[in-house]
Order: sequence, then structure tokens, then C-alpha cells
Amino acid sequence: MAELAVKLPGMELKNPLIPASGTFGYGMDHLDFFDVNECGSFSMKGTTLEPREGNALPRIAECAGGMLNAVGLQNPGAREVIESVFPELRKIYRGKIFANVSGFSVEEYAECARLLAAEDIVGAIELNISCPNVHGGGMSFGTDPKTAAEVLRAVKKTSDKPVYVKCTPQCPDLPAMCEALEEAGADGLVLLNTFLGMRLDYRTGKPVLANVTGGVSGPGIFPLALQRIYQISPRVSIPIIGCGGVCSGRDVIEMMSAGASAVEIGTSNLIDPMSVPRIKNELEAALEELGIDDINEIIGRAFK
Amino acid sequence: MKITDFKILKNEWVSPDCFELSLEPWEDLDVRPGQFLELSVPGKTLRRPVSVCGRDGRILRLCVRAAGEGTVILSGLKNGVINAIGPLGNGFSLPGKDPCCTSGAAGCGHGSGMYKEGSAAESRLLIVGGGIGCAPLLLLAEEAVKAGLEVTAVFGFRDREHALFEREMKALALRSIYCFDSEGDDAVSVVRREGLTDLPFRACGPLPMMEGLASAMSSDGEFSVETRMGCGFGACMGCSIRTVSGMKRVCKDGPVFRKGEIVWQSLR
Ligand SMILES: Cc1cc2nc3c(=O)[nH]c(=O)nc-3n(C[C@H](O)[C@H](O)[C@H](O)COP(=O)(O)OP(=O)(O)OC[C@H]3O[C@@H](n4cnc5c(N)ncnc54)[C@H](O)[C@@H]3O)c2cc1C
Ligand SMILES: Cc1cc2nc3c(=O)[nH]c(=O)nc-3n(C[C@H](O)[C@H](O)[C@H](O)COP(=O)(O)O)c2cc1C
Ligand code: FES
Repeated sequence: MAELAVKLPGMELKNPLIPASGTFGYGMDHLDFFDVNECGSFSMKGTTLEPREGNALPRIAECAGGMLNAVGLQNPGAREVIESVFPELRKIYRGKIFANVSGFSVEEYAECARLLAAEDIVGAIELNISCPNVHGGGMSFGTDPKTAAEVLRAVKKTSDKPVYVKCTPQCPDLPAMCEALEEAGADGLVLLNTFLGMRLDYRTGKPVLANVTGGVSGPGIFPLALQRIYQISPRVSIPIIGCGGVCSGRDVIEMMSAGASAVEIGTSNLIDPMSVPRIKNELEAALEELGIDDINEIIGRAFK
Repeated sequence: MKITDFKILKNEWVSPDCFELSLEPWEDLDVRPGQFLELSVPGKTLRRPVSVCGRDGRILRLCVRAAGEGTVILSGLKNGVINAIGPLGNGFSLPGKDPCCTSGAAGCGHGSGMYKEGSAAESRLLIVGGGIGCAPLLLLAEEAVKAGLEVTAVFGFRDREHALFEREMKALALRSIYCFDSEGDDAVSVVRREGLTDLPFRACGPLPMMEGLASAMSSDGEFSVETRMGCGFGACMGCSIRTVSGMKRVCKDGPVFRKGEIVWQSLR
């Protein structure tokens, strides 16, 4: 069996499979299906300093090859997560998680990250400057490299834990953004969050989502995410976690070949709650077929 | 809750827009009235939530309205295998018996084990359904009769052609009243007219019907509500509604909520 372990700054993962933020709750909703300890790690639901109710309904729509969501960062707030959720999570999960942090101001991002980074169960901060579903925040930090660097620096100061920045494809110059983030001290990049999209009800001609627009995710965005990773990986030296449409072991191999050191799996967890163990089996089988003994050999293979 | 394959035993139209599926699970499932399955639909990314309307041994029956693309595809699956996750959700409770709350299920929409009907009313139950919303109520009616409750069911449909479950309801030892929009009558009016507004109740149907019923009833009761779902098992927050005790996931904390819990405006 091929070696699946990968090393990331501050995180040693037994395999490169990480359930993506917003599709895995706080790690407790997939327990009926498999042991969450089988994941390399996971990224918790996007959390803000204060509790948020999220957007009005409907929050979900469908499209060929994927789905749209406009959940709008519904979460109980960082303090409640620390006081009520983490104690439960510790009972069933032995690893470290990515704490996905969102906010509406530099100060709020920093305070939220400070509180979460102080928790032993948090291995790294995943700075979400890419949420397309909340107005006046989230994504606006992700489209301007200067503001993004400012948030990142403020968050870096709050702890020694590594900070991964999750980027949005809506950024007009994503490669320049990624270079700026590396320059400003990012320990890694998560590429990518959802693509902005919408659906209209054909009967009424009105938007399906109450938020009007939503984030497109799922298998249909895989080639789009892959292209960004392929484009950006030669331009940065910090590790990239690939994310977007990954549904199979072969998808994982493609993304890692394009330069990702690990992958996040999102929408696939919603459609097939057994995605992680299934993809792990597929990955092992595919590596065996290719005669590869260590998954690290395939990282950036496209450029070798 | 499991993810499992089902053998399609039967799939036939039972009204101009509804069809009934008989499914045999690979593994036995213990389903309560009001619980649902997330059915995988060939060619569609997301699963479709559908309530269980009947049980024959291990075989589950579903009644589905061909409402859009996914359910139309389902109507064409005459044999073979279908994958589903379930049983999902909390399901209805029965007055006097409350499997969900007494077991202390966390976050259950019925409230924290406090659910008690007035003891005089405890032996009676009113069941109110509208259209395809009657599906989960058929299984509930069966269980309520089995539990020895004196059941009155009021089912409303667009017209006589669209009526569902008439044969099944006749076979049960309960009082059932069918009413039709086409004849200028509706379920909430019947409930008022028959003086049933003080009975403990369970209801499912179109939103205007449920809101109308909520204000007509002086008694407490439970509603099963519908929202679009991303996952069906609690992981995505796609289905959350506002309740008096905060945001709740329809798929996991619901779909059944007590009357006083629901903030109707968050469902509109
Ligand atoms: C808990 C629960 C139990 C249900 N039980 C039944 C049942 O027993 N019988 C039955 O016929 N229907 C039931 N429904 C409604 C059923 O899920 C929808 O009619 C169905 O999903 C529509 O899919 P579509 O592809 O045909 O429609 P489309 O409009 O093409 O669907 C597009 C998307 O919207 C979602 N959607 C559309 N309408 C609804 C709706 N009313 N509720 C939830 N999601 C919706 C779909 O799932 C899909 O993701 C139930 C819904 C819920 C939430
Ligand atoms: C329902 C839903 C909720 C999401 N919530 C968050 C979130 O809170 N924070 C975040 O950074 N990304 C969130 N995402 C984005 C995913 O983490 C991921 O980046 C995106 O869906 C692309 O990956 P996929 O195609 O594998 O789903 C969410 C996605 C979905 C589908
Ligand atoms: S549908 Fe995903 S949490 Fe309810």
C-alpha cells in the first residue's frame, strides 16, 4: 500500500484528504457514516466572532454538475464553538483541525482567530477571505491584495499557529493575490472557495436563492479549480491545498499533480457522506495502478 | 441512519401528478412517522428528500408528487436499484408516547422532553394534511390507531381526482374527512366547522394551510415543514429555519416542530 502521509506547515496528515469548510459541520454530522479519524484533518464550518443566523431561505439551489449555496455563514460564534462544540469534538476526534475564520473587519478576524488558535484541537487557522454570500465582508477582503495582506498580518500576530488563506476565484488577479499573501507571511493557500453564480426560477423569472447569488461548487468546478492551481503553484513556494469539485481518488491525483500538497473535499461530502473513506480507497488503488509508493512523489508532477 | 441501496419493487401513478414507490432496503431500517429518505436521483447532483408514507414489513412505501425535474426522473424508475440515506429527521411524536424526546435526542424539535398533552385530550389526536403533505401523515395515522388513539383525520386536496390514500384511510379505524378546494372547502375550515380546534394535532401541507391551522388551533401540536436541503443529515446548514429557541436544521432538528417553536416568517 502506498504511503499517503503528507506534511504541511504545522500539520502532519496521515492522508491528504480534508473535508472542506461548510460541508462537514464541526465534524460530528458524518459520524453515523464513518470514523472521522479517517480524514487527514478537516476544516470546520466558517466561524465568526459573534453568532450569525445566516441568510434567508432558500439557501440551496442545484445546477448541472453541482450546486449553489448561500448559507451566509450561519454559526454559533467562536466562544460557543470553544465552550460547547470543541469539548464534544474532543471525545470523538483525536486529530487537529483547520479553524475556518471569517469576519467583517480586520479586528474581528484577528480576535476570532486569536480565540480559536488558543485551542489545542486547532492545528491551523484557515482564513476565509472568500465567502461570496455575505455582503460587506468576506469576499471583499479576498479581491484586493492590500486588504488581504492586512488581515493576514493582523491574524498572524495573534498566535504561532500556521495560517492558511482561502482564496476566491472572484479575485481579478489571483496569481498576484497569492504572491502578495506569500509575501505577507501566509503559511499556505487554500485554492479555492466557490464561484459566484445564480439561478432564476424559469416560471417566475425571479432568483431561486433569497440572497440572489450563491457560490457554485461540486464536480463542475473541478477543471476551473485545477487550472488555477496549475497556474499558481509554480509562482509560490508555500504549499497549496487544492479545493473545488474533488469527488474521486483520480481527482485527488490530478490536483496533487498540478501542485497541491493536499486536497479539500466539499460538496462530495453532502451527496455521498461516505466520500472520504471511498476516495481514500480509490486513491490507494490508483497509486498502486501507477506503481507509486509515496503520494508525495506526485505533488507537482505536471511540472517535472 | 444509514446509506443503503433499495430495490425498486413497484412504481406506479396513483393520481394525475403523484406516484407511489415500493422500496426494499438492503439493510432493515427502523422508520418513525414523519421521517424521510434522501433519494439519489440519476443525473442530479443533490438528493431529494421524500417522506416514508407506509411500511409493509421491511418494505417502505413513498408517495411522490412529480414537482420538477428530479421527481419526474424518479417517476420513470420502474425497476433496478436506488440509493438513499435514511431514516432522517426526528419524526412526529404520539401524545402520551414520545420515542424521540424521552430518549433524550439532542436538539429534537419537540422540545426537551417536556412534551405533555393535557391528559384529558391524551387519547385523541387530530391529523391535518394538505395535498402531498398527507404522505407522512398516512404512516402517522396507522401508528396512532395502533397505539389506541382516537384519531380524526382531515385531508384536503385540489379536487377529487387529486385525492390520495382514500383506500388506505378507509381501512383504518379512524374518522376521516376529505375536502376539496374545487368544492370551495379546505382543511382548516373543516377543522373549525367540526369544532376540532382544541385537540392535540399533527399537520403537514402547504405553508398557507399550516399557518392558517396554527392560528386556528387553541391546542398544541406539531408541524412537519419543508425547506431545500443540501445534505439532509445536518452537515451544511442549507435548511435552517429560525425558531423561538434559535436556528434549527429542518433535516436534523426537524422536520417536525412544535407549534410554538416555529417562526413562520422564516419559512416564507
Ligand atoms: C422533509 C421533507 C419531506 C418531503 N416529503 C415528500 C413526500 O413524501 N412526497 C413528495 O412528493 N415530496 C416531498 N417533499 C418535497 C420534495 O422533496 C420536493 O418536491 C422535491 O425535492 C422536488 O424536486 P424536483 O427535482 O422535482 O424539483 P426542482 O424544483 O427541479 O428541484 C430543484 C431543487 O430544489 C429542491 N426542492 C424543490 N422543491 C422542494 C420542496 N418542496 N421541498 C424541498 N426541496 C425542494 C430539490 O430537492 C432540488 O434540490 C419533502 C420535502 C422535505 C423537505
Ligand atoms: C453548503 C456549503 C457551505 C460552505 N460554507 C463555507 C464556509 O463556511 N467557509 C468556507 O471557507 N467555505 C465554505 N464553503 C466552500 C467549500 O469549503 C469549498 O471551498 C467549495 O465548496 C468548493 O469545493 P467543492 O466543489 O469540493 O465543494 C461552503 C460550501 C458549501 C457547498
Ligand atoms: S440539509 Fe444540510 S444541514 Fe440540513
